[in-house]
Amino acid sequence: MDLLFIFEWLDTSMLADFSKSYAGLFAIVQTFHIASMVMLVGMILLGDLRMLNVLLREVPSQKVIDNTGKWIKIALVTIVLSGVYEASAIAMKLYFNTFYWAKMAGLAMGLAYMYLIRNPIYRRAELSGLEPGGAIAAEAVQPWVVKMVAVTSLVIWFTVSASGRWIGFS
Amino acid sequence: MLNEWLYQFASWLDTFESSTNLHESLYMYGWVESTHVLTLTVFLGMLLVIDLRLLGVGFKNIPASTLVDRLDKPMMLGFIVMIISGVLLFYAIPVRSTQSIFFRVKVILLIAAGINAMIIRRMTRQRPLTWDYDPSPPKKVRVGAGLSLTFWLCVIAAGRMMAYDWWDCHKEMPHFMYWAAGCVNELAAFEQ
Amino acid sequence: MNNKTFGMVAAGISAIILSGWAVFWTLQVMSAIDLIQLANAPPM
Repeated sequence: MDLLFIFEWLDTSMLADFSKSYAGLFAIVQTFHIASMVMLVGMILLGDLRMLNVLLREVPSQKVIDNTGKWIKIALVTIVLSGVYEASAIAMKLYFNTFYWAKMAGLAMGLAYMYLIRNPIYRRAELSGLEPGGAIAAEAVQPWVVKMVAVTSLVIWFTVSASGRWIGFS
Repeated sequence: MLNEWLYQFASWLDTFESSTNLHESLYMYGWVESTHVLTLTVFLGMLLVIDLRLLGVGFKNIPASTLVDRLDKPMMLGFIVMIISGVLLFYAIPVRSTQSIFFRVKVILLIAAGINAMIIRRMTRQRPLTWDYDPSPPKKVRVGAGLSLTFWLCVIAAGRMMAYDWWDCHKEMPHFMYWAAGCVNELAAFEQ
Repeated sequence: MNNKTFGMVAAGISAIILSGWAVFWTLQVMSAIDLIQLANAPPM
């Protein structure tokens, strides 16, 4: 499947006319893109470090994870909106940039992983932790699985962020 | 006076071989800059959580003192790595950075953010905090947290804009900008 | 799906991602070393 046509369309769109014309505005949009990246990865980092028992051990993990959810969604919306704006100004350059595709693949994988694996595992770990021992504890999510999921989540999101920076270098 | 002194210092750093090597390296410069940007997520990520709580808009069901105390260490750890990588980035390109209006604005904003952080620290340090469980902290704390987030957003903006050459010394600019950016040679040419 | 089964599924997917990541970066580092050696090679 060749996605070149999307980039050619974006490159000649009205949005591209606009984003290519105002260098100052482009830099401000970049700033918001970075700031929302900080919000997204910061919130994920907080949750993952909590599940690794590194941070906020005295706060129930469910409380920490629930609080981060809203900010993760806000950050994702800002990231995508500012990202599309940025992409419109340099659409053809991005299409031929390896790290752009690494970042997009990482982002897609990160989202799927977060909502299909990470969050359900954390929720199950919290629920099973609340039950008093006995038969239910035997059914609990294994602690090493929770830690492995936290490490994988950190690896994915740091790689996505690093690939984003590396678009500019390659 | 200060402009000349800064220029001389930057030129002196520029004479070091390791400065040139870092700037022209195939990968090292990229790794240092990536580290600088990635530790943003650690330092500013933790700062964001604390500030959202102090603003009274997030993490409201967790006591403020818990977040302030427990997130301090990872935040400072991120800060130290950020400072070290930042100094290295400056060392790699000393003259252009010194004569960058955005770098100068960034340093001023960093100082402002630092002073603001010390004031917030004073307001959140006493134990027990009388408003520890209040969803919304006192107004002066909220103002401090709002200022903190604003300062850091501007720091990111200034850092990002350093990459652009809009107001580099070789450009045609008003006299004031040459002075503000510290374009010593261009200012001297103006005098003649 | 009970917790234990779901945990094993999660661990399997995580293992695939982590090993894919390790292979990708090993290749990247190896090609980077090649490039550095090329850059330092004497001119032909």
